[in-house]
Amino acid sequence: MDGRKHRAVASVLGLLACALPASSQAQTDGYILGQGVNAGPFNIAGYATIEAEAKKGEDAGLLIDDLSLFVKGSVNSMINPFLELEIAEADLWFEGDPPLKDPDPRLDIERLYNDFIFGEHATVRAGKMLAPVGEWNLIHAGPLVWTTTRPLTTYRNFPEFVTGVSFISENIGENQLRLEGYWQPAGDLDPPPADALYRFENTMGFQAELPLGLTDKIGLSIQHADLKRTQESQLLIGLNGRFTFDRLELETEMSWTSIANPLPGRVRDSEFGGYIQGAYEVFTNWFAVGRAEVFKDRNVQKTSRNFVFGVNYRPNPAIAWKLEYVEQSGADLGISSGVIASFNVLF
Amino acid sequence: MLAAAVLLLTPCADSAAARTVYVIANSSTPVSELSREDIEKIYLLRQQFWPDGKAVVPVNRDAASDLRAFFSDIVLKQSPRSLSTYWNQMHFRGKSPPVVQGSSQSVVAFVRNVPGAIGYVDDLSGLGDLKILAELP
Repeated sequence: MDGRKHRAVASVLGLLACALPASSQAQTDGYILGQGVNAGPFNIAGYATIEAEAKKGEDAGLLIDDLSLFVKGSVNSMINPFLELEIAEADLWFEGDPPLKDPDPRLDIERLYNDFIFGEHATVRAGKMLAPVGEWNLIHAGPLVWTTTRPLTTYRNFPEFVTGVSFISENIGENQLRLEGYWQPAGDLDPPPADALYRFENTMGFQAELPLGLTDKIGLSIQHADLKRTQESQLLIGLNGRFTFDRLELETEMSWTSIANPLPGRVRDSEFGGYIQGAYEVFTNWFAVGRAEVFKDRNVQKTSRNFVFGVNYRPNPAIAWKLEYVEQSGADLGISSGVIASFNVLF
Repeated sequence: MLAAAVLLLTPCADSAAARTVYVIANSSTPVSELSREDIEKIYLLRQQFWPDGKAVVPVNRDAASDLRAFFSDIVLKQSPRSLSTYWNQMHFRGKSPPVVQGSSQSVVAFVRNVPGAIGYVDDLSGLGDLKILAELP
């Protein structure tokens, strides 16, 4: 990567630093950053991620990666709607082009469901929801994860969303076990774009989460899905875990997917992805972050390997500034080597 | 901003000092006492309902409050930062974190006015008909 690109990233970060409220004073009168605004039984909140990137072989640029708004209602045990709308990948500027030349944002309905709550331990959720596979897919907001780059393991080879029904049982027993089973009987609400890598149907699955502490846990995910327009079906088995040791937080997800009736073009009838990530608080609010991931894709012989090294500055839990270097080798599955910086805020 | 940063880095002067926190609840709450573990479950959003089926509405103090630091440490046995991170995660997953009030007076007023509300104070004055469910530690 040339110096020009580094200067471009430095410049946009500088602009962001001047323009955005990085103050550690998250609370203003009557409003707490990260907790949204309450209006009667409704809470309106959201998050934003503004990203500056300088990737190898690509133009440096600045984009709104996510601008998400979510509205949650708690009217009574039967009326608990949740809506999340997201504007994604709006290009603000790319090297060699004037600002806002072609923003081309995508508007998605990420979640739209209602919870029917039957007492302390049983909830039925109906609508479009995040598929409970691993933890990253369920808690993927920029301010709540350590890196701007999302591991392949957390999205590439399974449907991230389910439009259907799920049964959730949580806070079971002394260990506060959480179980969720879900089923998508028909099509997607707000389907993925036509150029999505895979389109799924007949999705069903199960997840068990065992809390080990406040945020520490281990989880098991099992998911079956058919691929549209082919005779293929797949079964995913995933494990995830988060473990905190004083200032160090370790996190891992891995999944193995078996593919039945694979198309002739597939190079293997299974897929594997896994990563391990660590975040260490070096100084107050400053964290060093590292991650190693491997992914063996069904379509590519070579294994994809990517390593991320970075820092986070988190002046409060609702704000994260991130700077990271990504080194990618092997199969190119959408993660490029380069420098990425982002400003992330929950509001 | 520098002053705010210094404030954040400065440990709460009296958070470790001996003091008592009183857990209070709306007068309609169908319990008369709670253990520390019960209170922990409520504030960690692991108990959402009172025995009569009404929603539990936990109330927290603002992040700068010494009393919140004390309550987090002694009652919830977590750092305020870890708790904020946890509540942010739960919020994203669709669970409402505790409502924040900026003073003891506003905690008392909120708990008085909202059925199912539970909060904490370190001063018994002005509680009126509110229930005191626990005295900690």
